[in-house]
Amino acid sequence: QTPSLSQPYWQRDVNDRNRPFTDEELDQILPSQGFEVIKPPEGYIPI
Amino acid sequence: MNTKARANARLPPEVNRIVFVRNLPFKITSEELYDIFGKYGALRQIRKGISGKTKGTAFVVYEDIYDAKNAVDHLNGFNVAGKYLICLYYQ
Repeated sequence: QTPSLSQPYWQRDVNDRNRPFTDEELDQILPSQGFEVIKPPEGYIPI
Repeated sequence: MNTKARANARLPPEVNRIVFVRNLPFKITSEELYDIFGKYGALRQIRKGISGKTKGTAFVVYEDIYDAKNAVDHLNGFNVAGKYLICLYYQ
């Protein structure tokens, strides 16, 4: 049985909804007109 | 919330990692945005509104869907410089 089948539906669904975004995807999903992508501050460490 | 509880928490369909924020103070800085939203999880990207119509709004994208939910649950109605934040899942 392949691992993905052994996971319950909502687990696969959540994993799918958590697939990392690429920059291109974000540019398609989000408006660029009137918005600027802000730079993370120097010391920004994602928790 | 420990990760084990998170891992099997089901999520309603409208929950996603992109949070649309309204009612932000116009003078809010990038550092403040990263500080307020970064507390709830790793940030993938923040897009700040800079034109007349979009000023005071932002798109905050989290890396993890549970962090986004945690942020919306805590930050909706959060007072920043006298203004109450409105946080919605971007549809």
